[in-house]
Amino acid sequence: MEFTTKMQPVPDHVPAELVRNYPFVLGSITSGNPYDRMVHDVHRFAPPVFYAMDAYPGGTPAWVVRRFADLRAIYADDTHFTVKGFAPFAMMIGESWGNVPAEADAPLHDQYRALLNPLFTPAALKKLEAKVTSVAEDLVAKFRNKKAIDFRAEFAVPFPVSIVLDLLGLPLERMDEFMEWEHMLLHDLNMEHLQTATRNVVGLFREVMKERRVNPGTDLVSFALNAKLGDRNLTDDEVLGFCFNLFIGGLDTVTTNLCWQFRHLASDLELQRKLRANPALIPDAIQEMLRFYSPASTFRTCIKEIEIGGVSIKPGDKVLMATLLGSNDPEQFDHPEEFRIDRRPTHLAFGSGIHHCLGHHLARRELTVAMTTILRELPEFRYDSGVEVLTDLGGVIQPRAVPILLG
Amino acid sequence: MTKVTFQLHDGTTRTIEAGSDTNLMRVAIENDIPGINGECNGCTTCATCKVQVAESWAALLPGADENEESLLEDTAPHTRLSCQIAITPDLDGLTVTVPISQYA
Repeated sequence: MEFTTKMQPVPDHVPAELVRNYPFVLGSITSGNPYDRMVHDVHRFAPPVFYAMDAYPGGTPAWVVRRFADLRAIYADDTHFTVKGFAPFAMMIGESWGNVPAEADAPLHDQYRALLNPLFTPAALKKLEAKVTSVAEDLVAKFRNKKAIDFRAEFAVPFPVSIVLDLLGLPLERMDEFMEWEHMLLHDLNMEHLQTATRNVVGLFREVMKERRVNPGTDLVSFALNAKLGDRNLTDDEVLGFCFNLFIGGLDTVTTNLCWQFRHLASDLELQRKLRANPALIPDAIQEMLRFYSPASTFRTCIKEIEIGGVSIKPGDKVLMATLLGSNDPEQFDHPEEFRIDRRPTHLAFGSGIHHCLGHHLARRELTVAMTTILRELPEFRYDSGVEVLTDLGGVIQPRAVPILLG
Repeated sequence: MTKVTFQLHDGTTRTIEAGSDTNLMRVAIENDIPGINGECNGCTTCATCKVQVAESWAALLPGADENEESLLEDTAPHTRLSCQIAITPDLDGLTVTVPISQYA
């Protein structure tokens, strides 16, 4: 596979009527809220499985599967699909490591998860609880007396990012620099930027790995360097893949969910009041928001021909796993465009199957602490709809700002 | 067939005749039992298929392994992940309580 912005021809096995436009491709921008209409329009107008010429970064085609049931079946299917090489990063800089564990298939994947799951269980995260709460409180203290804030910059970025940087033992002072790389990795269509950012992150971790080999700490890089997979250590490429995976998975996704959740809360004052009056409802509200605003997409590559929704998918074909589509499928969810606090849905925000998000307990913890702390510490806040906000589409759907009026 | 009973948060109960080669989470999902999510689809990571096993049954089930145990922090006694309860004929009559929410 190669990266090119030239459109490739439609393969012979793809019926012309199934070639459709997918509006959420990387590099697209919208000034509206893509969860208001765009996501629901895909379900209204597109067939269950269609082919988009630029669904994979770099103008590469992929099948788009929009139904919850089909997506969930693919997540569970390692006979017809592989996760190997779904992310472009290593390939873009001429290297061959994969994200660990996201780009490993069973049985190696299961060995990785057996090693890594214990780091992120509710039991393990209990130790982080006090830290997570104090980070949230400190950030709120900084802006509580302001009249207007960009919630993204003031909270949604620094809150989860400082927790993950701490877990990795990376310096907080470099947060802005890391976030710039992160943005180039996940929201930028410019291939040179993607390569530069990939090289920067890889360079950073190779440096850190070298240092931690000599001076191991209690951070996750040191953990990976010393971890045993059966009777062997992880290779340098595996440690790097694990660090890279945490960098792309841990810095941006919680930020994104916080942006949407607080944009929603600031726009729906009735819900805000309800949660203030009864904070016990917060976890259910977050669960429904995770469905409503599922932001991430990944890919699978077909390794054995399979028919899905009447469409034949052939080996080598890429398949887009857009959680926003599955989580808003009207065949799965009654009126998905409605926010219902008592829905308690099984959504795809964290994926499903063996690759179900490694960090999801941490993510939920952070989201719950954020909402609980902010509703407790701040009086009613409102969304400032007078400010135009652009939203980057692609693998992670994130607004560039969340203008909020306080007090 | 193995009869299993789900006690739901609204006070009603549902009794299902479960087949073999399945687990309690799968039985719940296939029969639209409200309150059980099973986000990770039985891979023992998400802990969104928790049920409380009736006391009389708790000791009769094979115990939770370390992995399952680590996901049951701060849960009520006899809480189990339903995906880890394999349906076998000797579970005929098993009764479990389903919480109102897996996320509370």
